[in-house]
Amino acid sequence: MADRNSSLLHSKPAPALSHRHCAMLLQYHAWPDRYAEMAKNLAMHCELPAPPRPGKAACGARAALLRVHPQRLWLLADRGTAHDHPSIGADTGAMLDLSYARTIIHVEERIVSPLLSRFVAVDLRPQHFAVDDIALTPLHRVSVVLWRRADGIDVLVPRSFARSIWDVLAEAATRLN
Amino acid sequence: MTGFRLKSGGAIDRGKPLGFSFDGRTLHGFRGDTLASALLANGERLVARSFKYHRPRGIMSAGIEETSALVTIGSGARTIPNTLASTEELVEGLEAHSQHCWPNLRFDLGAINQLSARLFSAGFYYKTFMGPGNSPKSWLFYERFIRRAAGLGVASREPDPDHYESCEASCDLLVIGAGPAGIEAARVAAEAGLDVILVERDFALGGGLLQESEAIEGINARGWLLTRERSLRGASNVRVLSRTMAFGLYDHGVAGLVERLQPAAGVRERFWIVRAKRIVLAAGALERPLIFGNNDRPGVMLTSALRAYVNRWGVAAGTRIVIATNNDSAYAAASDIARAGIATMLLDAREDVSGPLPEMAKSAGVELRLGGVPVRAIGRQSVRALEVARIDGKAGETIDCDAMGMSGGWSPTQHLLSQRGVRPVWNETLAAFLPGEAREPVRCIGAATGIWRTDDCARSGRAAGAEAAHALGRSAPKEDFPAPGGWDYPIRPWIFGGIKGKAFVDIQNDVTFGDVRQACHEGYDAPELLKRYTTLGMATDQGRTSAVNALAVIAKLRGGPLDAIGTTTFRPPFAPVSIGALAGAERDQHLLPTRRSPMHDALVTQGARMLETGLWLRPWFYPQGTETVDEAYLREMRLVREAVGICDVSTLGKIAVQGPDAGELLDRVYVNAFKSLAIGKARYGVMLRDDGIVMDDGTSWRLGEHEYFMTTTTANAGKVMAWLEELLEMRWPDLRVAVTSVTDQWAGASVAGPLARDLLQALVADLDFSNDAFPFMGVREGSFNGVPCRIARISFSGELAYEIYVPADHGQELWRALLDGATARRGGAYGLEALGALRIEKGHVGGPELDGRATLDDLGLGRMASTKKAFIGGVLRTRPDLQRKDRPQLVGLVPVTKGEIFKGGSILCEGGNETGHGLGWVTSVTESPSLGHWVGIGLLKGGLSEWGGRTLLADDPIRGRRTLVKVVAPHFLDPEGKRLNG
Repeated sequence: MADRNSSLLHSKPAPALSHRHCAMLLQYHAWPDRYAEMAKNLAMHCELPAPPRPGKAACGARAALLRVHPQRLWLLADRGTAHDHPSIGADTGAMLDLSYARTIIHVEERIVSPLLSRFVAVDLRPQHFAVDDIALTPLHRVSVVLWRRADGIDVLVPRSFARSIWDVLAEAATRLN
Repeated sequence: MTGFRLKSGGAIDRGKPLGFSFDGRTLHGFRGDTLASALLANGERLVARSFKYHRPRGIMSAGIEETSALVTIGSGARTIPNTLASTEELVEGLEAHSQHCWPNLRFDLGAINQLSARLFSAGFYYKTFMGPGNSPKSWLFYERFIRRAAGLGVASREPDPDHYESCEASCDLLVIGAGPAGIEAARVAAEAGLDVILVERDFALGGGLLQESEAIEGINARGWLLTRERSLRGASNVRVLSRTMAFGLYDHGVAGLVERLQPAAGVRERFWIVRAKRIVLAAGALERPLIFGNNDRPGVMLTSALRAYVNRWGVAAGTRIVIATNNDSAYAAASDIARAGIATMLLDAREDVSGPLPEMAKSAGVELRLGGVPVRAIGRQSVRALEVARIDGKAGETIDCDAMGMSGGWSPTQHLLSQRGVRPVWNETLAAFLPGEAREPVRCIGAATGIWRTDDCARSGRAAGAEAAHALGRSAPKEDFPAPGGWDYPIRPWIFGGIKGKAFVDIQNDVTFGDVRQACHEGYDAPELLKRYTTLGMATDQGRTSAVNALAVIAKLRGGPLDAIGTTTFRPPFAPVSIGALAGAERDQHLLPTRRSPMHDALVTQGARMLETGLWLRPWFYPQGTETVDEAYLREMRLVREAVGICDVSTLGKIAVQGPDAGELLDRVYVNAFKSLAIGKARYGVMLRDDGIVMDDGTSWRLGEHEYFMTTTTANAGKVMAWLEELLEMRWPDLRVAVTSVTDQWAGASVAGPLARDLLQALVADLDFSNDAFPFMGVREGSFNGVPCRIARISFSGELAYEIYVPADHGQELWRALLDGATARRGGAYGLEALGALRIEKGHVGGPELDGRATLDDLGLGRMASTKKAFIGGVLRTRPDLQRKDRPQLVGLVPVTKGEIFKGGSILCEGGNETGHGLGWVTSVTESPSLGHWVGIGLLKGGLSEWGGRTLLADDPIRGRRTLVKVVAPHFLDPEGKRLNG
């Protein structure tokens, strides 16, 4: 298979920002009465003690789970294919591969607050948005997912908007620098 | 004598001189000056002209309450009109200009308005231009002249070259105002562990302390301030924002702020949205002017301002100053001014003041006159004497002076609280409106609650800081809130009799005592009516100094209590906010986000001319050499009709519809059936709104038993997605369906033309593209270069055509392979212009026809509607009005004379009857290289059944074109579908 071609392949570098694609992003959507069962199975698969609560992510040995919706979990993995992860039956819910639909922009911790406070209405103070907290929020009018990591924040951006979002973040980051 | 710099004193840095200019004259000030203090120090007394009468105006205040000294800062693209000289921080090179005067400030021809002042009384415009006997036409005639004369400064018409940005912040406690109360609130809360944001409009912290000469809590005011400021700025949990104005309070503890930044920051202003768990308002109080004749003359100032210029900036406004007052606060001011060596007389309207207060003033050298009130200031371009009378009405005397102070009491600043719907409560003892009770966690403190003593203000701050800490689960030393007040002697009512000449109630808007009296006589005696009838309290001032005075005047005229009159509600913004700050960084190329297709870079490299369509950048056409768009799109159409063309269709909306009830959902939203669609097949579908009007169309592909791949138009992708989510969450939560936008997941291309099959067969070897194996509307999944792809045989152009999708990161790879293959077959890429033209030739409807008014029947698609199932819009589409035979219906149009052209948007009408809205309109046109003439489609009342074969006029009055067209069927090319089935 040919190499993947990032949406930010030709973007200009910017201080404290980097980008990568989602190696594997699977969406698991459960019917309301089947969510608990699906979440438990996925947590076991990811080697997590429990699935994440709403607004939280949990990183397991095999993959991370993000609770992005009352009935949805996103499974993110650094490698592999969809076949490496559980499928679910139509009586439980639906699985969807979104690995190409999002680009991840990483904002280094040192500029998280000054940079992202210019774009999102999320309280980013560490005690309010701790490691593995996630938030679905508009950034420059585009719906993105923020995921607090130990070394900064991952911004999961729809691929078609990635260049535009990168440009506004990069311009602001350069000014901050 | 005019103002001058004192030899010592003030908080300015005399070691840092700054050059600036006013009306082209080079002047000097010091770091720490405002423009106003520097102008005063340079003897500039006349700095502005008034709004209506062009009266000479000087500097009246030392802060945000300035009503007179409005100037224009900067030049060219950086021109900022209506800037308050009293709040503008002096910087090196600052360029200031007087405004609203011609040919110059000293000789202003507009001052002629003063001669016709009697004409410009309250309600002048309403009576003169809009009253009985004046038609709307006459108002429209006069309006242009009125608008030209109205307003103050003039904004630049050049694009703003500066950067602005917006910023979000959250905190436990937001303290607005960094006077003694605000500082103490912030300190106590921070020491209790709260996250605090302290906001101060001024460039220096301190509020009233900056002009205070007395000690606070036994400590020298400047020393106290220095210690506190150092502690706050050093605390990690405190953010101090100076030069920042809080202009609005909103729901759930949201505050709007604007921060002005220094030039070195590279950003001119920063717009803050702060979310606070609790808010403390320590915005202080504003001194009220007195109402007497010529109270607007240059040299007549608020007493607190005279004191501030002496104590903070080391500037004296004159050498002989008279201060008129009705309250205690002027005593300390007069004493400070006298101690600076300026001859000072204090004129107190009260007759019964005795004891320490007058003794203090006298010992400072103040000459005290009790029971006297100002009647009229004398002097044209500057005050040179004051005519006074006895409070009992007896004639007084004329006192020589070159500056004058006035103090009619104090009004707590409650604008932000008023914005939250909190009504102020009139306090007769203090002659002031005090804050009412807020239902939100917003606490007013300090002078904003009518506390006049500095020590008490600080105490109220500590109490508020502790209160916030306790409310948020922290501990702090509890302190009681002090009671309002603090003067030794009661204030006296400040609307005196015996006024001579023009006495202004609203100085900025030139509204006089006489105007208010006249408005009251005419029945406009409610505050809101008075405001609109006279303009009192409008413009940048927003009634900061005039509102309470106006109420007092009404009360005096009515002869009733002031609190029976009511108040106005203040609305955001507290003071003007620049458009640049509101726009922030979202301007120019960042006005809106841009969407790029996965093929974008390849398209641009290939030379595509891109076009903004909604948020997307799409290839418009691919010029070769010097081709124009018209030449290029016709060539591209021929490629498609004669060989093979490829088009980026990644922008189409794509929605994954999954679950056991996926088919049921599609059956309900589409007019035609999808549950019965076989796996591996696609179907064209149309969805209606609830009211039976067409919402969108597209194909949906059945990928599996429980999975469909829905495509929508590019324009309606978001709308359809939101519509499906709403339906599932609100109407049909029982359906087991998941809908997810996968527009970003897939890159797609349309491959159209007689050689399309040949091209795709070469690229996707694992699929059989023969007619039998891959029939029209078939869907197949295969692989391209080892990458999974999905392909449907569908056609928008009328040719043999396919849509192929691969994961987005492989879009460019797909595009390049398709382009190489197409080029090798004498084909190539085609853009949006050709795409639209091809569909017109085929008679397919698009955006211009799906205009939110057309029904299924109007578009000739009525037969698609299923009679075996219910669907959204199915009932209301049968409304009698939507079933009328004379509704506009889709028709084809060709010019009677083949060489002629006609335009989209033309009105269709019968020749000789080209009036009104005609019979219909042309929606889409194109030159057809296949047919050799122009073709178009449009919506025509009665449609083909009534007009088929007849000739109409396509009238384009805007562009001056009239073309005779023949009404034909909308399918111009291959109506039998031989090409697409080929």
